[in-house]
Amino acid sequence: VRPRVLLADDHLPLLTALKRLLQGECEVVACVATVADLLQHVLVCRPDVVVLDIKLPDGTGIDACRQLKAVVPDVAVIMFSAMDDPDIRAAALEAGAEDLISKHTIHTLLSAIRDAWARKNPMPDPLPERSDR
Amino acid sequence: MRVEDTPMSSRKLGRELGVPHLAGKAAKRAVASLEEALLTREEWLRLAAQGSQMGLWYWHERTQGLFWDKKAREIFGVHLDGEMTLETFYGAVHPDDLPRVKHVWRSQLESGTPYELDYRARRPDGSIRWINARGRGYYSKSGRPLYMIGVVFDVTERKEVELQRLQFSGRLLKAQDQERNRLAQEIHDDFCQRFTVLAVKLQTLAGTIERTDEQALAKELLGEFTELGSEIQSLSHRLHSSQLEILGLVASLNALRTNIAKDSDIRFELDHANIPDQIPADVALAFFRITQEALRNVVKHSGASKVEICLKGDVGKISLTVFDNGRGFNAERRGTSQGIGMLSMEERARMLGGQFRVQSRPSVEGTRVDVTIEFKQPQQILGGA
Repeated sequence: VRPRVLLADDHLPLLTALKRLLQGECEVVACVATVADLLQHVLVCRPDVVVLDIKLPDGTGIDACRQLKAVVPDVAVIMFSAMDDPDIRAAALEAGAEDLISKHTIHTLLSAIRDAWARKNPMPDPLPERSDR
Repeated sequence: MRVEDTPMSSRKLGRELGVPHLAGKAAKRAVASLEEALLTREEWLRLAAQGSQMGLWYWHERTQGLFWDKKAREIFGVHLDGEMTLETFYGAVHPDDLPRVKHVWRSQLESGTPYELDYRARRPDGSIRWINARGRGYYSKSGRPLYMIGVVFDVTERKEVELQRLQFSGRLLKAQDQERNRLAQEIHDDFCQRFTVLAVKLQTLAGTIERTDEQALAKELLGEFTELGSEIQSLSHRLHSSQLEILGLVASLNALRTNIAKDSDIRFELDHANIPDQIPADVALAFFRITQEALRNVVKHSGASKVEICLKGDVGKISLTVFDNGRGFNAERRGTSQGIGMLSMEERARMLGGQFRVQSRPSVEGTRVDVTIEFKQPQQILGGA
């Protein structure tokens, strides 16, 4: 089973490249370019993880994340922004994002998705059950 | 300067000034040489005054008599003959500047210190002239003010050039701002995006490589790529931060406050109420930059221990007050770097039809900057869960 991922970015070449990068490990269920489309598709596609750009044409990723979490609280949101700005990071986490990665460290996206997915679907405890459980 | 009236007898004046009263030939000789010296000096002064377009005045404290020479009358545009009173003078000063003029004039006379002051005069024809006035008081042995003398210059042309220069600096700042934004936008929208796409493609490619030595090379390439991308991105960020667009005005001001507070002992307080979610980008930017400049001034010049930033929203307008408890400065002195900062703040507010006001006086506690900008509420409200 692979994580179901929804990509939200208004830069088409990046969407295409990201889709190809993630294909193997994830199931990319939708690609959207606006906050409005994101809010619609998330209800239909039910992704596990949303990869969300910090700036979309019709609103900021921070606002979108807040709205997203209000509609589907269990979805994991990974935001990416051009710059790793500590204030933007704080605002993103406060809005409910799992992580904020900067675009120039986009190679960490896959591991960020993996981490978010693992937090959402914890592996069964490999240790034998303890008597106090 | 010819003083027509003799308000005091020479004997009495001698007593006041502590000069012995002479009699007989010695007195005549002394008076003659004194007269000669005085005439010489008067001639020098007359030539200097003519050459420098200087107006002269004299105030006699006991009789409350005021004398102005012809040039001074010309500068203020008051009648060239006849009696001058304090009221004539007050009437010629621009009403906005009058309280300041009265205050400085009186307090300097009483404290016995010379003064220099720039203020505006309003001529009977309605034209405004800038006056540079200097003067000092003379006192009896007991410290009682006797008289005060002073000179006035018409410095309107100089002021206008100064103002134009500063306005030009303001426009230059704005142009620089716009150019920075344009460059940053270009770098972000073009180079950074392409870099990201390339990095993602490179990573995809690296994932398909099986040979370990080739994998290592791909990893190295990706590392170099990331570094280069990061440098270009940070250049774009230095030119223009998109923090304001993403976080909004209040959160950005809060971040600004926190960042400045990190390197300073000053306590920064931010208070806000009724700030709408949707503010036009140029209005938000103006408030952000004005606060940034005001805080920069506080840190650099004020020696304050506390700053209050207060942002208040009302229907279709936002008001900002930045108030510090520092040492204040001369808000009239605009030729300094602080002045240019003030002017750029004022320019930013005025460009959007806003109001800008600075209240500050040297050595008097505190500087207060007030800005109000009105705007049309955007029709389309985005989001809003």
